[in-house]
Amino acid sequence: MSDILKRTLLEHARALSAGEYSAEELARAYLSRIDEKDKEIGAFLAVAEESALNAARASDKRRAEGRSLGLLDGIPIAVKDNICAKGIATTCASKMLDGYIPPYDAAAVERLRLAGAVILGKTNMDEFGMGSSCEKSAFKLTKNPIDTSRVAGGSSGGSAAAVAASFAPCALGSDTGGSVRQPAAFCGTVGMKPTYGRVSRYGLVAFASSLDCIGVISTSVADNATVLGAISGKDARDATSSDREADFDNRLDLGVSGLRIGLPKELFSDAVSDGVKSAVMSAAEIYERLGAKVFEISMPSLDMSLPAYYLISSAEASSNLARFDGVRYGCRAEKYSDINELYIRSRSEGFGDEVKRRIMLGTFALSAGYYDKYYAKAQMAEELVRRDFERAFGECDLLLSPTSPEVAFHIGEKSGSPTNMYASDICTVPASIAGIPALSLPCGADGGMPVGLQLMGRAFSESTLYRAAYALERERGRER
Amino acid sequence: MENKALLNIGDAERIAELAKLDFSALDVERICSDLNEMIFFASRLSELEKLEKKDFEGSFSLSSLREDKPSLGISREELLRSAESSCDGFISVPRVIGGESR
Repeated sequence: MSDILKRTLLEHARALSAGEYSAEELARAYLSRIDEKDKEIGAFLAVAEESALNAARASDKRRAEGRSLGLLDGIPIAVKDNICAKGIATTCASKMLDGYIPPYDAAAVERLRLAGAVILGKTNMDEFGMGSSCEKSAFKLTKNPIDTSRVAGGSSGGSAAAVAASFAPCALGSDTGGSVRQPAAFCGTVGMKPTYGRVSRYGLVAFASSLDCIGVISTSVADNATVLGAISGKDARDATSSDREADFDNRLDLGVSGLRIGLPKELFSDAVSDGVKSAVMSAAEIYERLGAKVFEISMPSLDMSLPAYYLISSAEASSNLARFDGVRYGCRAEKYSDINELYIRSRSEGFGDEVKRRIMLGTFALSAGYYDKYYAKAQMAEELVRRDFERAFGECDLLLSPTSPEVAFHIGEKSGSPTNMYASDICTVPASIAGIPALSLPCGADGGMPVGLQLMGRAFSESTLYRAAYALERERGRER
Repeated sequence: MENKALLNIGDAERIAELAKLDFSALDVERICSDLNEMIFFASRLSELEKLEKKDFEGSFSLSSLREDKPSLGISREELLRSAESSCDGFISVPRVIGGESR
């Protein structure tokens, strides 16, 4: 049974349909592997064994009665721990929410359950989504399954590691500044951050509401498109969600002939390691060979993306995390003399250092005397970046860059200085602040560690990204 | 660009008060240093000094709002399960205006 755990989600779907094994057998196989191997990796915070097996049995019953719900029926999926799943602890990897059991499903989880998917459990992450290594969880460290002395990336490190370690064929993550793409790259998997508004944020614990996106991590491009299609769509409970058609997986093999692919030179700076550049440029050459037109372009405002992102996201986080005050849910301090002290002690005891840093930065940026110089300027920078992308998409159909300036770094390597860690988001943050879709897929290796290539497209052009990613994946052979 | 500290300990303490966070003497020094490092990191945006809000007229628009229609939500009972302390269908907190807590 353990050999089948390397299969893709769609291979499982075909096998279930053919009766090769049951959904319950499949769920048990993944649960058994998690039980055996996750002690070394630390991908999961909660494994929902009982409910997963119940869901798997229900799937088998439906299939036996000829009522299968489709491709995802009986498929095990892991979910990042900032996405609410009813009855399963959702902690955002924070002491602040230790023991919190949501009374509702996030819209994305609802859609997966309606499609018959089996929720295996909740994956580890950097606390409240604030981090790029999965070292900022309050509960455990997630290690990179390819080299356990290295980080899995963040903040969706648990989801990426779960897929890379064959604990699940697919996982949901969230991406605010790169938190699906970067861990996907570090762990040698495919990670998609869709257009802002593609997937309802209802039930995603808010970090930065104008930037947060639920995304998908998988072992193959086709799997990724299938799951994204299932979780996308308009939701009345999220005013920013879109009703644009979400039909991604039926035109994957159109190829790239005639596509214009731009390489923003600002994302190939000296900050990017030679090994990463080499792997990404080899992939660019493959695209040329396949008939795409590949050329360098310049997007000067991209240099302002990173500072703008950190100011805007921190400002929004300081507002969003104000709800964690010890009153309605989560950590409440034991000793306090009045309501104000309840708030202060609960928050100070519940939040970790990085979360406190970001709240402080956000509060500073929004405070009187500093708002115009910092937050307002960050908004202007954000608009300049959007305009730069608009101009670039006048010349190109897609943009191509490294996902991260380096491969997965060693555990503890970047713990010394906060801004040292922030610099690893340099390639992913521009697409986040522009709200456009961006996908990372493996394109080679550097020193034995996977290198991720990032494709970015116009808003709602996920089909084009998947088509281009599929072409490269097919040409290079699937990584696993 | 020279990294000149913008904030002092007093500033950090004032921001902490606004953020409803409490730091020990050692931690407030560290957070002040971290904040200055992060502010220096963001100082690239000073290149936009010459630009004003009017140069971006209409850019910062609100997202569309849905109609305010009441509908069934999560039950009071389910919501109270998450609260540390409740009484008669309400969440209990320390008395807001003077006196001892319940």
